[in-house]
Amino acid sequence: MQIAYIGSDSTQQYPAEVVGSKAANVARMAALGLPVPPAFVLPISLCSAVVNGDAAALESVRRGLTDGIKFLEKATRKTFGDRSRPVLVSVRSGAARSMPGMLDTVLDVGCTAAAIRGLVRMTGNPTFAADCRCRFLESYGGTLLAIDRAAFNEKRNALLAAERLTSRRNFDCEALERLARQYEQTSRMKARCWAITRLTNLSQQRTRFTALG
Amino acid sequence: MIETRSEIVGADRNLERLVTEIENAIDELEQAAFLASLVPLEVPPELLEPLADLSAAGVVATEAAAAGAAAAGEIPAGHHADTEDALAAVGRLIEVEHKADAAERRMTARIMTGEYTIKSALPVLELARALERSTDRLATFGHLLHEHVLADLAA
Repeated sequence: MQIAYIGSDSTQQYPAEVVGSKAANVARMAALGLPVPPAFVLPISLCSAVVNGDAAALESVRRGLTDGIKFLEKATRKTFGDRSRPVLVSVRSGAARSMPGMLDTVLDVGCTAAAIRGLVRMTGNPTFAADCRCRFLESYGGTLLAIDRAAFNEKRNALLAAERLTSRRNFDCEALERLARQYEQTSRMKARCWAITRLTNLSQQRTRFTALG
Repeated sequence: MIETRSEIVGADRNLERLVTEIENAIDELEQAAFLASLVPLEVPPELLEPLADLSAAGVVATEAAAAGAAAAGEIPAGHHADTEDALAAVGRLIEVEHKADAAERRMTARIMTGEYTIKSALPVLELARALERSTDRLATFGHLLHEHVLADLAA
């Protein structure tokens, strides 16, 4: 159950049954010499093994994530969660056959509170940086913490009304930073409740809080 | 940074000057936005070219100021890369200001030597000048940031 590397110097192709159709097609593009962002894939077989409680598979996931992030850091010359040159990761799920709308995505993973400063340094755009943080918290909270998306929509709509705006695209940097702080409270509160009532695995809790930054 | 003005006034003279200069740049950009609303829809291509350069200069300078301020804020932690990034941003601010100067002079020369009505030329020229002044302000911010960085390093 090796992880698959795509882009950068890797031109290896992988069957859709192993890495999912999305990743297989991106790997094919990379092999053709087309520019694709670097990526790594945890094979589909790991998913069912983890769901079945295979301890070795869980360890493979941990090792795969560590190695995969190292690959991305080397390819982009950036560092995960760094406060000067952070690399952000879009986490996609895939299957051998297309399953439209059924597979989750978590955007801007690595966009910790510290990494926002790095994004500002890289882009000179504080609004973009704060928007990345909001999008990360929305997708992380909705997908991994099972927070009802309505909770985020409610806070966003309240801020839109307070600022007399009609679209989130019109939020300035300061408003987005406020929205992110409100999201953090939502996510953290939910994570705490989750930890108290359902989680018994300390390392899982630590992972969740670390990701929130 | 503007939001914290009340906290730093009187507390740090250099920071206060940095904030003042950013506020001045914002004033110039607001004036530019107002003048842009008065520019006729049909601007001659030979005037659009320097105007596009000035607009790009305003964007690049604003981004460099934000990036430089973010890097400078990390310098007390003692990482060399933070100082390098802050000073690189200062360099970009000064370089952009020179480019904006050249574009504004190009605009002035074209208007003075061309056949334009006052109604069509004046808003374009005033817009160009406001954009150029914003890059001046941001370059001044860059010089102050340079002083701030050196002071931090000497501390």
